Amino acid sequence: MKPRVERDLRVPMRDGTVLLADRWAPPNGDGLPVVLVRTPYGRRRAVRQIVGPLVEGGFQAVVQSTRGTFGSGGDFDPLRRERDDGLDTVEWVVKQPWFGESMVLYGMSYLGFTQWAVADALPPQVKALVPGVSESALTLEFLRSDGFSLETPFGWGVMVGVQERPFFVLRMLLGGRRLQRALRTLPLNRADTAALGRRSDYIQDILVHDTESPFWRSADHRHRVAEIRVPVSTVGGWFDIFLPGQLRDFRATPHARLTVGPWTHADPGVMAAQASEALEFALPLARGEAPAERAPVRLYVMGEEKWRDFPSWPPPGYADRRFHLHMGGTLAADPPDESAPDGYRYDPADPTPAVGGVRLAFGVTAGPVDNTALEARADVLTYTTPPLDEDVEVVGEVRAEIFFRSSLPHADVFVRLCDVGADGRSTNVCDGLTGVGDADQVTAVEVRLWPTAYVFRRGHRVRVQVSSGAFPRYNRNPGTGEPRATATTLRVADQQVFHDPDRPSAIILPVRDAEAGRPRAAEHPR
Amino acid sequence: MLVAQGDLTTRHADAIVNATDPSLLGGAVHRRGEPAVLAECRALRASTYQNGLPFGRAVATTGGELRARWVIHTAGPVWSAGEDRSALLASCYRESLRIADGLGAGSVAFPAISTGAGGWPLDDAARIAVRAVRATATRVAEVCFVTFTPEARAAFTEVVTGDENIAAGLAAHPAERWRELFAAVDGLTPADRAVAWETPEGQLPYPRYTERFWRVVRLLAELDVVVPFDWGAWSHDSPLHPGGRGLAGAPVADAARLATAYVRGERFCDGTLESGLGNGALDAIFDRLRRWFTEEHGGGR
Repeated sequence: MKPRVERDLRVPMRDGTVLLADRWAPPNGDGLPVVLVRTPYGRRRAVRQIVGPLVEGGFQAVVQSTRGTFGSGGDFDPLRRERDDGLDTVEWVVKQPWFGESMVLYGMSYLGFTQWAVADALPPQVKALVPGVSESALTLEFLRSDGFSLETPFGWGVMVGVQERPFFVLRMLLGGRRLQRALRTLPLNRADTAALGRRSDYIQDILVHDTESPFWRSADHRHRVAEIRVPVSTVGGWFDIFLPGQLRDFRATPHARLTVGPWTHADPGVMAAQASEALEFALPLARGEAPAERAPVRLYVMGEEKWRDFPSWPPPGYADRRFHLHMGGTLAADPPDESAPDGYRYDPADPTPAVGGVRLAFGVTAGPVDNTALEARADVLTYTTPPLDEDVEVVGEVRAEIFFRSSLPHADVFVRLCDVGADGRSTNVCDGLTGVGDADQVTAVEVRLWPTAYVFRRGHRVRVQVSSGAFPRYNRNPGTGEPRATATTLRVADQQVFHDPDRPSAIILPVRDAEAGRPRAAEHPR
Repeated sequence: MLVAQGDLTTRHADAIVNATDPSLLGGAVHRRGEPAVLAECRALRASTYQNGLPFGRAVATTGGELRARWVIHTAGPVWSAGEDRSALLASCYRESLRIADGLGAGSVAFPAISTGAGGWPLDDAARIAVRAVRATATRVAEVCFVTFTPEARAAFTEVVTGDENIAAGLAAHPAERWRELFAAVDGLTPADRAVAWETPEGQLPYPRYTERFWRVVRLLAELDVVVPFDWGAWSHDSPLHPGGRGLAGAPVADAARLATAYVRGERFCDGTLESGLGNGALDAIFDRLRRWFTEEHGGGR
């Protein structure tokens, strides 16, 4: 039956500000478990897709616009106001005449963050959380002082800056090129004007305040995760922008289950998996029943192209193995012999581009793509194994240790893991970037790559790319150490990557133990 | 030097100035409620300023979760009909800038100190503030007065865009920079003054100024001849616009205002600067600046 929608319910906050909410309920839906969604993106667009299946499945839904968005009072101060507002809203829902006995919190991305913001102080009526492609310190990973992700938070700032204007979607689609041009603006603190025609408080904030700034303290809810007392189900994607933080949260959550698919942030697969977690995990909990048994961790293993169950994250049975960089562009388990370093020239005026991978922007391809053109660039080094004589299964956290020196004191090291097929085509698996100060001294640079689950097939080859950027996913390193908001000078850098006995650069992959190889059949009962 | 109206506490600046009282517990920042700032102020009261922060002095704390990295607290004097306390008020601005310098702040946002509870008449407070900031040698590149009321905004705008402050802005640049401008002006050839128009197909025509002419325009901006003010309204009302007739007898600030109308106007209407070359307005501006430089600024000596 078609749900009825009560529009613009007024939800008062402790400071007197009123936020607006819509209630979606089937006829006679009073008393059903409530699914609460708090969103900054409006209560019309795409909301039917989000809550429609949940209301059909047995929930009544409350969708609230967060402070300062789509008719809700106050100023939109992204990320920093969600704790008090969220707690006040939960309390309000519990007091409504149509509220029954239980409620769950639900949503992806920012909508998942609003759940973490209140996770440690929930009343007993809240029975489960379902935060997808999200984490408890949303966006703070982007603002690391040793690696500033430019494209995603900037594009998000532009998007929320125009989302309440007419023809919003059309504007974003048509404005994609303008936005990409704006990312090249110097100094960056004028890029918002180039993209929007005016200054954006949020964009100025992300340029000035990095992860450690007290400015973001009220947007950081990492410390609440271990204190949560209700079960959590969390859905992520191997190419999602928030994956590292999401897996960190999962490890800290007392009662949680995890699903990670081969998805980017906006993949429809995420929403489908979220909806089934709401109905198969959260709804039974809200009704006081036990959800159907399932392994705590369910991962899509790429390369093998199969869903598999695991007892934990990172899963047992995988041991770190070092794959060393060698002269001549080879990659092998043995340590390297004496050899001269490899070099390349990085020019921030023609920065090494981001190609596929972990990206989120209008009109930009994310996920696994052909890396041939990227690897043909003179500013990208590659190191490749011979064809594998057996499958190599990698599941867990991936990191690299690169002995590196630049001609300038400030530089970035970008490392990407690729799978080279029998046809010679190189496809990206996961990657990461670390910025270095004192880069003109030889430094062992630790690069944390995105976690993954991937089987390199027999006959395929493992490849590692080393370069100094992935622009505009990461801001280009100007080489000067100037603050990112005001930097205007770009300096060309000569970079060196070492591979000798004293400086053995390597990527460290969690590879399945030969011992653990045997129970494999048992995981796939016929 | 800019003027804005709004909430000082959400301003983008390296440091914002909290106009407080000797207790260090008053002012807009504390009204907003910023626990880390309040805690530091309490600690200062318990240690360095047990008898309170003296009027006219300033001290810095963290910005806590504010946009600004630092808050500079200064105790603004209360206005008195019987006693001239303007030196104390000027000291608030001077001391705040001195502290900002020590912190390495590049931008500072001030409120209209002493004009709230302090009861200071707006016109007088604005004049003292602008003079004090102008007279302080500082590395702070950007100063903004963020006022609470529209009346204070009007008062500060009047002073910041007034004859005295504009002339002071010109005088702040060294003589050799001015000579550079006048040499660039003298170097303009008839070809630089005859502007060619490009007429690409399928596009509106646009003027092509020479590189030598742009250099003059850039120098006007760098020397603060181009000033932020409401040049649209001014050029509508002023008899000096458009031709610059009478500029010789007007204050030098009017040369800056007229130059602003032309340089900024070009951004909105192609060919505005060309018309200024044709009608003699730009030459009138250059002449007035030159006379100010030799006779009033004393740069000729």
